[in-house]
Amino acid sequence: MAHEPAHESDEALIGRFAAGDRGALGELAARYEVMLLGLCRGLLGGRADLAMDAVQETWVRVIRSSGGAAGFAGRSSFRTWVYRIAVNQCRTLAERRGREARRQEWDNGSMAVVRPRVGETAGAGDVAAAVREAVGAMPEAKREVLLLCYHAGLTHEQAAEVLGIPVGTLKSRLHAALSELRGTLAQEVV
Amino acid sequence: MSGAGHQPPEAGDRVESALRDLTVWDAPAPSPGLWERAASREAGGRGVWAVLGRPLPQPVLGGIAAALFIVLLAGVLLPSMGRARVAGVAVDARPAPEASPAVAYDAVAPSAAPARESAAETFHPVDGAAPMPARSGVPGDGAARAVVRKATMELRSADVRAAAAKAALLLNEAAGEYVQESSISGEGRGARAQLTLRVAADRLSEVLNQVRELGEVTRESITGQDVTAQVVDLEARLRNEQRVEAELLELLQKREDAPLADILQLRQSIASVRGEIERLTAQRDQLARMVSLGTVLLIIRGTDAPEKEAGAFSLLGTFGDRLAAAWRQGVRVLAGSVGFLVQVVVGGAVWWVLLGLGVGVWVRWARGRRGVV
Repeated sequence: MAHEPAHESDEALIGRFAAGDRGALGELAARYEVMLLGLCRGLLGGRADLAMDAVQETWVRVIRSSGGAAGFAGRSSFRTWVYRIAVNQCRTLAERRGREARRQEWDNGSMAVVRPRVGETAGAGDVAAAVREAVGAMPEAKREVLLLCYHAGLTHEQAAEVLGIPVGTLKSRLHAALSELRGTLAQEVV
Repeated sequence: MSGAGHQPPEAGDRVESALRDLTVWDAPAPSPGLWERAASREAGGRGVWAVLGRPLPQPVLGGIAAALFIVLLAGVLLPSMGRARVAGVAVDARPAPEASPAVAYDAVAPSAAPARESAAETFHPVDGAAPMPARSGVPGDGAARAVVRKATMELRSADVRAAAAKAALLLNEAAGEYVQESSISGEGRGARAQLTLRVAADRLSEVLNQVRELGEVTRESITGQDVTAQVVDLEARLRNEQRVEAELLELLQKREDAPLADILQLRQSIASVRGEIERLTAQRDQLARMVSLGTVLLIIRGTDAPEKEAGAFSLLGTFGDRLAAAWRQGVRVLAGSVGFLVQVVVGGAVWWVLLGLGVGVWVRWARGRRGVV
């Protein structure tokens, strides 16, 4: 097998994996696994354990879909395809986590969700922690746009394709999310 | 993965720098890699596919799932429909005692035997029925059901008066049976007699058989009205009122030193409850009489008596009768159609829901199939 991994495209690698070459998946993982982990951790509120679950489930979906008609068919790039799967896994995990949290609150007899104000847990000068808290408190749609746009692995066009929205919509949502974030942080850190 | 073409909106901003850091994985990469864990998991869970040589295509898997769903649905639905048909036949057949009299009457008229046993003490020309036995079951629980039976029989006989007298003699007064109404008109072969007989429910079949021998049967019908639910409801309300009465009496005894106003209010409440108990008891006894004694409307005509009562022929009247009959028939058909539709919609609600779920899963699967690429 005289392959040249350094020059081989993602699409060629997934094709090789579909043909039975397990090593091709390893090469794809070498390109994307750490990037996906970072994005998933951001989407899941900094939880590394959940991020690892999400990425592992992403690979499971890639393996299951790679050989079938329902899988990767080359109509989009492999990059946006795998990111879209990862984002969907994060949504699923976040939803499950939210349900468990609500059930736990119910079991504990507290029905009110008390969210700490931004800056209450982070020190006044700890910008990163304050931003993390503020982003975590944002609605899911805005949080996803913000994190995908600032994720080093994606352009705005690719982020829009991952989220399944037009680029114009992405940009307007990004603008709104940044305004909200700045407004939230204005009195605390900026 | 440098993200070619990506340009942060405002470089140097501390917030934006923090945002970029939020999606950076700064911990060591997992070892073994997550993709390896996923591959191992899939290899373990796909033993069947490994045996087959390669994974089955998604459409095939979808087809297998759909086929399994249909088989499951048919397996559950068809026996249910079969049972419904059998139940329908049973209900239709129930009013026909001559088909299986033992089943029809022994099973559905539980109060008749007690009626005979206690007849010596309770017999009365009007209130001849014995009290209805207490029932603890609910309708449809397989226990005895309370059914009010009504039969209509029309006969032709050469001697109407003799046939009417014999019919009255068929009754067993000791069992509480009696002639509720009797009338004879006309003479000889043109005479007509009408009798309303109250017959112990468990003897209804026997009495009808004997009545058939009094002449030539020209028309016969039997109906049954299931009043088990009313009986159960009445008894439950009665027990409840009795319990309330007992509690009020107990309260009255404990509060002898209570203010006069309170005691008067208690007495008023007790009187009200007792009135309700008497009313419910009367209703229950009435229902018990209706169940324990079936009603037979017997019409005996002489061989020369007209089928319908004599009346002046009227073209308008005949037309009106036909019109009314057609209208009634139309209303019956409409009611039957509406009933059928309601039965399909309401009775099949579970299956509609299952079908909806199946379609929803299929649509979701189809959309997922399109959207994942």
